[in-house]
Formats: sequence, C-alpha cells, structure tokens
Amino acid sequence: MNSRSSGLRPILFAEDNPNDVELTLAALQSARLENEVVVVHDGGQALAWLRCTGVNAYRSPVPPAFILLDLKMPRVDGLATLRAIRADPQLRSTPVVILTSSREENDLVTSYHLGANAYVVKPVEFDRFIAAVSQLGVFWAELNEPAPARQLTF
Amino acid sequence: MTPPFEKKILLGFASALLVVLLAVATTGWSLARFSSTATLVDHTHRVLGRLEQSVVGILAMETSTRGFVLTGSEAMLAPHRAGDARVNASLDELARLVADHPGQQQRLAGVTSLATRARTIMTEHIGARRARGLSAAEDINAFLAGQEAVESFRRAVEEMEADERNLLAAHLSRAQSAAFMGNVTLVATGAVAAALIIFAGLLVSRDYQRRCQAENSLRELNEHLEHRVADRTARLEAVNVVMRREIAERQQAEESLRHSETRLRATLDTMLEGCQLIGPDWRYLYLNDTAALHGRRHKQELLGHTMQSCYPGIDRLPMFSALQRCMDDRQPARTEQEFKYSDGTSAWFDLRFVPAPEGVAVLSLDITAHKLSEERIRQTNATLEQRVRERTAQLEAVNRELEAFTYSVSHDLRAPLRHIDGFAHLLIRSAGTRLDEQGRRQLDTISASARQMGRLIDDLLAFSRIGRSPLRLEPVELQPLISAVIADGNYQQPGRPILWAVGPLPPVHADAAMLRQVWFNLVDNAVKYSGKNPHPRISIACRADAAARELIFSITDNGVGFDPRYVDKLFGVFQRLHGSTEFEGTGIGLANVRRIIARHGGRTWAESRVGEGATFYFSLPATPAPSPVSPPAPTAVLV
Repeated sequence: MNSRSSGLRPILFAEDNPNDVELTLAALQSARLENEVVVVHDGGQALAWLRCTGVNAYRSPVPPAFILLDLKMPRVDGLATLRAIRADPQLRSTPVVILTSSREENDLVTSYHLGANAYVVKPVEFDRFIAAVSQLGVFWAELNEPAPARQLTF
Repeated sequence: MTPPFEKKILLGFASALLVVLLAVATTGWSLARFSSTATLVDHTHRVLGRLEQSVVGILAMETSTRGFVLTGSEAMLAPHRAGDARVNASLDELARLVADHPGQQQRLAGVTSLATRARTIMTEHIGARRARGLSAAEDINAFLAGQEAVESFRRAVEEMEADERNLLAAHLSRAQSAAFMGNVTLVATGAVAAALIIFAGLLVSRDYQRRCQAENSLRELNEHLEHRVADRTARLEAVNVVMRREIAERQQAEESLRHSETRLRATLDTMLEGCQLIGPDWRYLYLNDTAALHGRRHKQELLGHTMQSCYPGIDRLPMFSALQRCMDDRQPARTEQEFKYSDGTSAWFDLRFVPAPEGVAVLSLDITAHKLSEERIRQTNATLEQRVRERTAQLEAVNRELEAFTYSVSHDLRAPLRHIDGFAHLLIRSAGTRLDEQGRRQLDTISASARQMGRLIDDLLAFSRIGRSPLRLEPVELQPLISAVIADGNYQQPGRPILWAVGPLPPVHADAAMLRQVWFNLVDNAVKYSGKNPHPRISIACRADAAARELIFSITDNGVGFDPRYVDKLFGVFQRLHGSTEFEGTGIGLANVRRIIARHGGRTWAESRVGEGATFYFSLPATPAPSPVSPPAPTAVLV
C-alpha cells in the first residue's frame, strides 16, 4: 500500500478528557496499530497541527491517516473543528471520525451534514469500547485508502 | 305574376284547345274530301245510269226496228221513237256530265257518232221495209249491219263505262286514304287532347287537394287559435279575480298601514334609539325625544334648521361624509362616531343611515358605556398577551435549560461511568493476578454498577427524547407492526412455545416509530412476566368505543400479574413492582408507553391480580375519517 511504502501516516486524536485519552490509547494499542497517535486537547490545537502552524511550524507536513474527533471540547469544539476542516481546500479530503458520548440526534445530523465520515458513540461498557475503537482504528488506518498526500504539499 | 303552377294549368289547357282545334280542322278537311268524293261517286253513277239508258234506248230501238221490219206494223215503231228520245236525252245529259272531262268527252263523241250510225242504219232499214215490203225483211245484211252498229255502240259505251268506273275507283282510293289520314289524325289529336286534359285535370286535382289541405290546416289553426283565445280569456279572468282580491287586500292593507303608521310614529317618538329624518338640504325634518337627548337640544331648536347651523363643524366629522354618501347613493351605511359637547364631555354613538323618501333616516345608539368596557377589555387583552409572551419566553428558557441538561447528562454523566468501567477492567487486566477472589468480585461489582447506571442514563435520555421529539402522525397498519415487534423480540424458547392471539386490529393515525416503541414495551413486558408460566398465552385485541370516539387496545398475558393496590406506580419512571433479581429491566418501559400514548391524546391503564396474569390497556382517539379497511381475521401464531 502507498501509505505503508511512504511511511505510516499518523492518527490525529482530539480529546480533552485525560481519562478518555488513556482508555482510547489503550484500545488503539490493543488493536496493535503501528501508526503514531498525535493527541491534541481541543479544536484549535488540532487545526494548528493540521496546518503546521504555531508550535507545529517545523513538523514534517505529513497528513494524518484519519482524525478521531471528540465533540465536546473547550474553546473550539468538535463540530467547529469539522466545519473548519471541510472549509479548508487542503484538509477537505481528510477522513474524520466522530468519537463521542453524545447520542443526541442533533449532533448526529449536524456531524454528517458537515461532512463527517463516521460517527461512533463511545459505549459505556469497556469491552465494547475496546472493540469499537480498535475496529475503527484498523478500518481507517489500515483498510481505508486515503486521498494522495500530494494535495497537501506546498 | 302568375305562379308557376297556374301557368302550367293554363299551358295545359291552351295546348289541349290547340290540339282540339287541329282535330276539328283535320275532320273538316276530311269531311270536305269525303263530300267531294260522294259528289264524284254520284256523278259516276249518273254517268253510268245515262250510259245504261242510252244502251237500253238503242236496244229498244233495235228490237222495235226488227219488229217493224218483220211485221210492217207501224205500232211496232213506238218503242223505236221512245228509245230514240231516251238515247238523245241520255247523250245530252252525258255531254253535260262529262263537260269537265276531255277524255270522256272524246269517248262520248265516239259513242254519239256510233249511236247516230246505228240509228241511221235502223232508219234506212225501216225505210227499206216501207219501200220494198217484206223483202226488206229478208235482207240479212241490213240486219247484220244494224246489229254490228248496235254492238259497236254498246262496246263504246262499255269502254266509257269502264273508264268511268276506273275514274271512280281512283277517286274512292284517294278518298279512303284521306279518310284514313283523317281518322289517324283524329285519333292522335284525340289522344293528345285527352292526355293534356288528363294532365291538366291531374294538376287541377292536385291543386284542389292542396287547397283542401290548406283549408283544413287553416281551419285547425283557427280552431287552435280560438281555443287559445278562450284559454287566455279564462286565465285573464282568473287573473282578474286575483287582482280584484289583491285590490281588496291592498285596500285593507293600506287601512292597516295607516293604523300601524300611527302606531309606528308613536313608537318612534318614544323608543330608546335616537331617530331623526334629515332632508336633502340637511334640515331636520323629524326627530324623536331620544335623538334630541343625544344632541342635547330641544326639538324646536333643531326642526327646520340645517345640521351645520345647529352643530357648526359637524360636516367635518367622518360620520357626515358617510351620511352624505347615503344621501347620494341611496345605500344604507353604519358607522361609529364620538361627539364632543360644548361642556367638554363626549359620547360615542353607533349611527345607522337608512335612505328614506324624504332624505335619510339617522338612527343613533349611545354606546359610550360599551366603548369604555371595550377599551378595558382591549387593555386587559394586551396585558394578557404580554403575560403570555413573557410566560412563553420563560418556558422556552426552561426548555433550553432542560435540553442543555439532557445534553449534559448524555455527554458528561456517561463519561465518568465509562471511565469507572474502563479503569476497573484495566485494573483487572494489570493487577488481576495480585487480587484475591473478593477483590476481583468487588471490581466486577464496580463495573456492573457503572454499566447499570449507563443503562439508566440511556433510558432516561430516551424517555426525555420521547417527550421532546415532534409527533409525525401518519396512517399506521398495526398488524404488520406487531408481527415485526414479535419477530424482532426473538422470544421463542425451545420447549416453551408462546401462544399469540392477535387482532383484528384497525389502522390508526399515529407516529409509527413511537407506536412501535409502545408495542415493543408492552409485548416485552407480557413475555417477561409470563416467563414462569409453562404455557404462556398472550392476546392482543382492540375494541371501538363509539361514544368516547376512541379505540381501546389491550394486551393480556397469563403471567405473574401484579398487586392492583400499586397500579398507580406501574407507569412511573423507574418504578418496579417486582424485584430486579426476579425480573430484569430498569422500569422505564411503561413510563415510555404512558408518555407516548398521552402525546397521542390517549390514556393508559392496567388490570391484574397477583398470579392471574395482567391486561394492559391504552386508548387512541378514533381517526377523523376512518379508512374503510376491513380488519383481517384473528390469527393465532405459535412462536
């Protein structure tokens, strides 16, 4: 696969709650993914990383395999982040998976309306949580073929 | 101008007349021919007669001569002289008769000379007898000569006779052909004349028939007209009767009108509504006491004066333009007007303008009190509306808070539970071997409690959603919906079949997804609480309550039932009548049922006794226009 030959793309994980970060990382680990997981704590940090601005100005401009996005975050929340990504011509094609506690129909509808690629509700039961996160990690990081990186070079 | 028909008749008769004239002319011509032929025949007969007479005369002379010659008796000569006279007379007559015929004249000349020769011979013979006596009688030559002369004469006469007969034959032949032509012409003209007369006769007869028909229809028309005249006359007479009656009634009515006018006048004068009559020049012609009171003037001050002079500036009020329109257009009008009096007070009037023969009648009603209360009501309404707006805003704010709360519950409350369960698992995973049995059980309890709380929160959220999401009413067929609920529930257990009795169920008007939730909860409950019966039986039915205009659905099981004393608690949130160890569940299902049915305008209730099964009921308002779908036959399904 292209992504393999040119080095594994990182996974961008936006989540403000450290407990959730820990549990999610544990779940991704159990899926034995080799991709680097970049953790940010709000939408502003996520966009800065994606656009290589601020503290990320000198990072290698590799696009992520996919973005794992929580909805409820301080400052710039998940929906605002999604809106900004889809409005940015250079980020538009990046797969975005919403990972949230919210079962609200409103959140679901708005997410898809803004162009989310998937919407996963975090199960309360840990077994199911592990299963859900590792499945979506495998799917989006290994099975799914992302858009060519060329679009992001400048 | 002569009509073509009469022209034809005239032409027919003229032609017939012409043909008849032609026939007459032809006949005349034929007759003339015939008469001339008759003359000719007569002529021939006379010629023949004379010729015969001459022959008879000659023969008589010869005989007489012979007699004398033989006897010498002078007496014997008498016939000789008579014959001679006859011959002479005949020949003279013949000379006249053939005067116009040169051929016969010539022959007659021959005959005459032969007769002369015969007579000469006879005279000589007679002379000889006298002279020589009887010897002359012995002179045979003299006899022979005489005989030969007579014979020549006779031949000549016969030739002449033959000629005359030939002449007659030719004449007769011509006369015959003329007669034939005449006959033919007569017959032909007769036929043509007859045909023309028949044709003319036919024409005349047809014309006669037409005339007869025309006369008949004219007569019928006349009869019809007479009938109609009679009819119309009868009707007019009837109308006259009615009119006379009406005139009588009208006279009576006028009489009573005069009475009622008097009464009306009295009523007008004393009624509570102001009444005034305004002339086209805006002068007061009449006003009653109330109108004077409304105007705060005495009648005498107003009557005969114009409105403008009595109330300066009145013509600038809106009511005056309405009055003017009524005066001009003769259409009734109505308006309300406030009047300000010179003392600073004012009053409202309901004014009605009605066209009257003398001008306009103005009816006025004092509505000042009414106006005041109206104003108070308007103010009260305005206040109420303001309060409703405020209350609505408050409720909306509360709703928003509630939504924020449920969102917060949905998101924030579940996160710690997930963490508890997650970290408990991680702990078991990392330190499981170092914990004893009791420690592992306690960690499991932490996980189980967290999961239970997660389910409670999910149920609460669903309950809240049921209250908030909009109702999407549509026609719903219950039979397939319930079949799907039973199938999805996966209730079959080997060795313990559930006997289902469903229907018949009418279609309803409801939110399909919510109704499905209702049936899911009820069916799930029925299965759950009949789980201890070895022969579970669940029946679903519907009956219509026509009086209350609602449909009542029921689901009955033969399970453990419940104590009817606690029936009120059944439909509460998280209320359970059985221990959670006995029957699993959070206790939100019936609360959902009640909430959904209440949102559809229906009611929920239940009946049971401990150990005798339970029946849960709910009602739905009957649809405004029930569809005429015939309910399917009841079905019993073994699952």
